[in-house]
Amino acid sequence: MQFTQNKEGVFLVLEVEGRMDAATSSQFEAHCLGCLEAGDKRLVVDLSKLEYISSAGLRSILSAAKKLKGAGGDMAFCAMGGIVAEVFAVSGFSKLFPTFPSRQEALARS
Amino acid sequence: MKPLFPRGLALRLSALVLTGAGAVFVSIVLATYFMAREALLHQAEANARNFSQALVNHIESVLAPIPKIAQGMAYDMEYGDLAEADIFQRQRRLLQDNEALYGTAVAFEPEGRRKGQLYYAPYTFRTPLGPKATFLGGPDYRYHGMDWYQIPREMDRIEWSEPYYDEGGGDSLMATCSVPFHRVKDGKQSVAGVVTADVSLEWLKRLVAGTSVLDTGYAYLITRTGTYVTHPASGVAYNESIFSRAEAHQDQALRQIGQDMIRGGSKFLPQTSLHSGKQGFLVYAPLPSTGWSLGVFYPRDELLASVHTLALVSAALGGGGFLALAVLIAFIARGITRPLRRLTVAARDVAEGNLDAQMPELGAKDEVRELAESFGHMQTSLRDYIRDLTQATASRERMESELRIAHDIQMGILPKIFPPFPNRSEIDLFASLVPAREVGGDFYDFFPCGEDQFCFLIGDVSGKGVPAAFYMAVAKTLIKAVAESARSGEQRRTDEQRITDEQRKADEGRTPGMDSAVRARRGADPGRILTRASNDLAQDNESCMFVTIFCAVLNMNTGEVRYASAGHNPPVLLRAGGVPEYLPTQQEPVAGAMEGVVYTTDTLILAPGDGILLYTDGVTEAMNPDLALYGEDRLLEQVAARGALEPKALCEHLGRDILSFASGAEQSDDITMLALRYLGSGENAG
Amino acid sequence: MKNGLKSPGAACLLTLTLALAMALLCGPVAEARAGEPKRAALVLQWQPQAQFAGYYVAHAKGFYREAGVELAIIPGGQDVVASRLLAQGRAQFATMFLSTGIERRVETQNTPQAIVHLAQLVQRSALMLVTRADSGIKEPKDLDGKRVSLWDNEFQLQPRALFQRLGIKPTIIPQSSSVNLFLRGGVDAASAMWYNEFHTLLASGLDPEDLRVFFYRDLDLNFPEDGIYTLEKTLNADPELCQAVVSASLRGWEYAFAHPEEALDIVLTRMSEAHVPVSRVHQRFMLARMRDVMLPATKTDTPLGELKEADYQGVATALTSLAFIKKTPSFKDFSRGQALRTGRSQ
Repeated sequence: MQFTQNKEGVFLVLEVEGRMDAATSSQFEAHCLGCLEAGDKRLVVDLSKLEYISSAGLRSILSAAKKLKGAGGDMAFCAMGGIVAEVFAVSGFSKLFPTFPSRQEALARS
Repeated sequence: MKPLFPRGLALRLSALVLTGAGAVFVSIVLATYFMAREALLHQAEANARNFSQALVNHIESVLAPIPKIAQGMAYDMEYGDLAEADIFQRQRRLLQDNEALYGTAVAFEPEGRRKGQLYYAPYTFRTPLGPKATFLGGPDYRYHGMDWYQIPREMDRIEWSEPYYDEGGGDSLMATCSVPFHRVKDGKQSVAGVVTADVSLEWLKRLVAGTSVLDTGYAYLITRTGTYVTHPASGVAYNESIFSRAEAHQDQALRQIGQDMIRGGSKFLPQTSLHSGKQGFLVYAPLPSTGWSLGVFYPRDELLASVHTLALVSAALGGGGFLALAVLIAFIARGITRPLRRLTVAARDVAEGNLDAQMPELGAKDEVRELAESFGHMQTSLRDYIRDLTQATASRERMESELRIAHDIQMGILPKIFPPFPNRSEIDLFASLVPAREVGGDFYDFFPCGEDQFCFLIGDVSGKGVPAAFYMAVAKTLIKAVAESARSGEQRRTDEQRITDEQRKADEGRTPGMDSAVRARRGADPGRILTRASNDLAQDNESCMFVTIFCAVLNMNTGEVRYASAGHNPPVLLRAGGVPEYLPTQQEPVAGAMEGVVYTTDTLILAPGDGILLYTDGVTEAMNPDLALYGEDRLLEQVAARGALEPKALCEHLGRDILSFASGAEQSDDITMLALRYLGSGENAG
Repeated sequence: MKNGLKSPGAACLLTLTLALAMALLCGPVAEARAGEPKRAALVLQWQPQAQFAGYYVAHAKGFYREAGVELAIIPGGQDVVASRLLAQGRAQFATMFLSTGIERRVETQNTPQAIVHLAQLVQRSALMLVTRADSGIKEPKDLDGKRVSLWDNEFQLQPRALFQRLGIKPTIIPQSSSVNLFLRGGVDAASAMWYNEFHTLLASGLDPEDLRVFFYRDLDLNFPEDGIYTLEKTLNADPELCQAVVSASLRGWEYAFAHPEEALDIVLTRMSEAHVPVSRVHQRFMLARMRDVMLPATKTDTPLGELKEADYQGVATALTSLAFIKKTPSFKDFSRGQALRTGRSQ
């Protein structure tokens, strides 16, 4: 799993590439915590290149999001497609977190 | 038991070194021996030759002057005709002057002295009573035809006769040296007679026979015809010649030696003695004055005694040196291998499990010490490894034990009796859970809740292992508790006071006008069950675990199913005679993730024969070795193909299909299915 | 040397003296009393050696005594003339070369000392001439003008006959009893008996190939040699004695050839007694050669003891032609052995 990040205004856009499953999900959480420590509390996670996400991945997202939230930040998702979007839908994560069809839309919020 | 120390290496080392060193050593000893032997042989030959020559010289010193004596007389006879008295006078003086002389004669040719006188030979010889004068010749002693006279006369030169026994002179061996003298007769010089000088050879015989040649060697004399003058064997001297002896023994080599001897040859050569049968060497040399030959036989063992001593000394030195070398090498080899043996003992100790065995302290910084140090390192590594292994095994055992605990928890709380309610004919239900090696936290449950109400649900906890198992146990217990509490009024009231405004708003949105009484009659509401359970689970959920749940309540009389899904996979709805389809859900979040999530209850009516299949993502996300997913499509197809089956048969069929799809790939998540078929109530059916 | 005895002559004289004394003591042999052994003496041509093995064997084995004769054997020598001893009555029997026998017969016939031939033992001549192989003498006529040593007496008959026949004139050197003069190169050729001097040469270091030999028997001069003779009057007086001596002698020879080593022991003993050089090898050679010249090799050869008239005539003719004798004596009168045997058998 690879991460690409760049700052877009108040947001830190984090592009995640690869598979997020039991083996790799902890990386995501760790990366997000790293960002938080670096002072970026507001994350927009671009999932356009994520191929797969398992329940462990969801848990990692949940955990990271809770920690951001606890620190006064938030986490939004964008540009997810295919099976990832389906998982987000089925698991109701798209209702738990703000999700946007595209990065621009995600950045455009407040 | 093996011997305490292996002899092999020391022995082989010794043998190899000893063989090499021994070969060199033996070569040196042999080379030294042969060189020294050669020198000693030369020395021995020189000694033998010198000895023989000394003997020859000794004999010659006596024989050589004899011809001079006869010659002097012969000159006198040539230059003047001496009177008979003068001849005797001179003969007497010669005998007095020359000890070696036995007798001397002046023998004339027939009628050489006076006409008509055939024999005239004045002769003076030695007797015990002094010199005695006489005349030789007569009918019985016709000296002109005898060798001592005839040969020098015919040859016209000084001649030594063959030796002979003088029987009248006391059995003494004699030889005669004859010198012809001449007179001019008819104007021509011719032999007028012969002057002789007799020599007793008894002293010579005693000298040669009595000369000790080493211990068992001997000397002998042969004449110019090969006749023995002396020989150590009795009856040989004077009777045999070297040639007749060669013939008697059929010894051609001896004959050739004899021929060389009588020709005046001189040689040193190896020979086997006919006399003693011994191996040895013969030295022969001529006696120039008589033309005889002296042979001296030296037994090999005696002549080469110094060589034999040398051989013995060499053998002793060689053998002793070799033994010393052997002992030394064996000692050194033992010394070299001793640390190895000590190391072997220590290594065996280690091999038998004593990892703390003391490695031997070795002095010299050599290969063996390096080996010992390597052993030490190996011992340390082994010790560390075994410690790590022990720890790893312990941790593994702990994990295994945890897995077992998790498994036991999971399997322990699942209902496993099918059919669950044999007395109720409205439903047919079957559920199966195939746990992954690491428990995935799946669960299912079903229970009656209220009159004619039947609750069934399936769930999947995020995470694995003991935490997931516990979480699952909590979630399942919680749900059941919530569902069952919905039946009692007090409970219900309490529940309603606790239900948030959001829940009420949601309910009103979908079932306007539905009051609490209706809800009570309907029994537990899945949405509310999930809302409450989720809230409870979300509290103090530091680990951020969550669970997806599909929960449904069936009215066994009407076939009405109310259901809610907390982020769970949509179940498959199987209308009797219809095509299977996924039941649309609200796509509401997973339970336990966040507090305050409210779930919506949906409703559907099952006709008798309709069925519903609940499953977890362990089914759709089962993977084959190529990491391909089993998928919703395949599930639907398989259900369609077996739509008419009993729930149990359906579950078993799907289980087999998933297994065949996985093609041996390890199952990574629990595979859980719950199939329910509504058979209709008695009145509906009627 | 000279006061001693170079040759065995003195020893022989001593023996002769003893024999003579005995003869005088015992009176004429013919008068010996019946039942007692008759006394007689046999004189040989030369010193004891295997040439006479048969007689010594017969004597040692007691064959003569068995035949009723107490026979004394008188060794010969350079200075012993057998015919003289017969004439003087010092010996009753003698061995002689056939040529010598014929000469003596011619000399003595019609006298009281007439000799007769009793038995012929050596049928083939063993006399030979030896030269060195490298001497240039390739055949007998090459001897012309060369120095040739010859023995005296009967040993000169064949050489002289040969030289006369070939018409050559070698220088004759008297030959002693040794071959030393030849060995030292003093003569170009020397006489030798096949059974004696020839082997002496070999035993002096010369190899057979170093020598070239001429056998007279190969030069048409096969004069039979040793035979037994007696005086005619002795034969007439006591033919039994003669027969006894002859048959015992033949028996001795047969025994000697059948038991050569025993015969050699006997001969060597006699030689030692006579102080002549003793070499068993030499005597063994001699005995073997005696067998060659005595025993018939083929059926046509003359049997031991017999004298063929043809041989007799051959020798007699040679003697006549050399003028050694004037007229050949009657064979019948000369050879009485056959008649003796025939008479006895009758």
